[in-house]
Amino acid sequence: MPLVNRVKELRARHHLTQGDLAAKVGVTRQTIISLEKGSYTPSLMLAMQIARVFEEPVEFIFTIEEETE
Amino acid sequence: MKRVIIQSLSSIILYILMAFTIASFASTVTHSLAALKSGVFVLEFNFLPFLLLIIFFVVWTIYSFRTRPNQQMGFGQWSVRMTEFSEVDEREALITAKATKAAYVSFSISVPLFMLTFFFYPLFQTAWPTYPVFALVSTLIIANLVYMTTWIRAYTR
Repeated sequence: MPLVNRVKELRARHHLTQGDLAAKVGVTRQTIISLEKGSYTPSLMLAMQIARVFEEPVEFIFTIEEETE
Repeated sequence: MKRVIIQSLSSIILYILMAFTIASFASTVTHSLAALKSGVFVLEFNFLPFLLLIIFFVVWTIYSFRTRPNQQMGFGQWSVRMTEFSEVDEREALITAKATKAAYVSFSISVPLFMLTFFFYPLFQTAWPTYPVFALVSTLIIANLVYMTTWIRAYTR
């Protein structure tokens, strides 16, 4: 059950670069890149920090692929 | 990633230089003892591996300390840590854990394999008396290479 996310979409909507978002949530830019590619599943803490930056609920940003089908 | 590569390769170079220094010292002791039996005192030591080890160690220490990720960390604290570990964020911590696990597994394969080679050691002991030193260092080098490649593969995924 892979986790899909809307980080790229929301980041573009908020006019943030990958570096900006990485700095806001305290991770490296490479982690944001992997997150957007879907090759990295973030911890609950990181997911909540990202949700806080975008002012959206966690489940709006991160969903299990099965749920979206 | 650059840090992991540089530190892993530096460790490998240090292990190789250490092996040659120990082998050179062991060879000196063997020859000196053999000469002493015949009543002659001979002490010939190949200083080159030791000199290279010291030079490389000093350069590596200065470079590694200057480029340490946590600049607030003092030398005392830094010197007791493994420099290959890069855990800037949670993903890197996860990758490091994965690479460390792979290196640990490599030990459980390489050590028994090298132990098996010791069955034949009496056959070539005279030709290569310092083989145990190089066998030991080889297990460390293999573990380092496994750590580095696993880290790079996981990081670039």
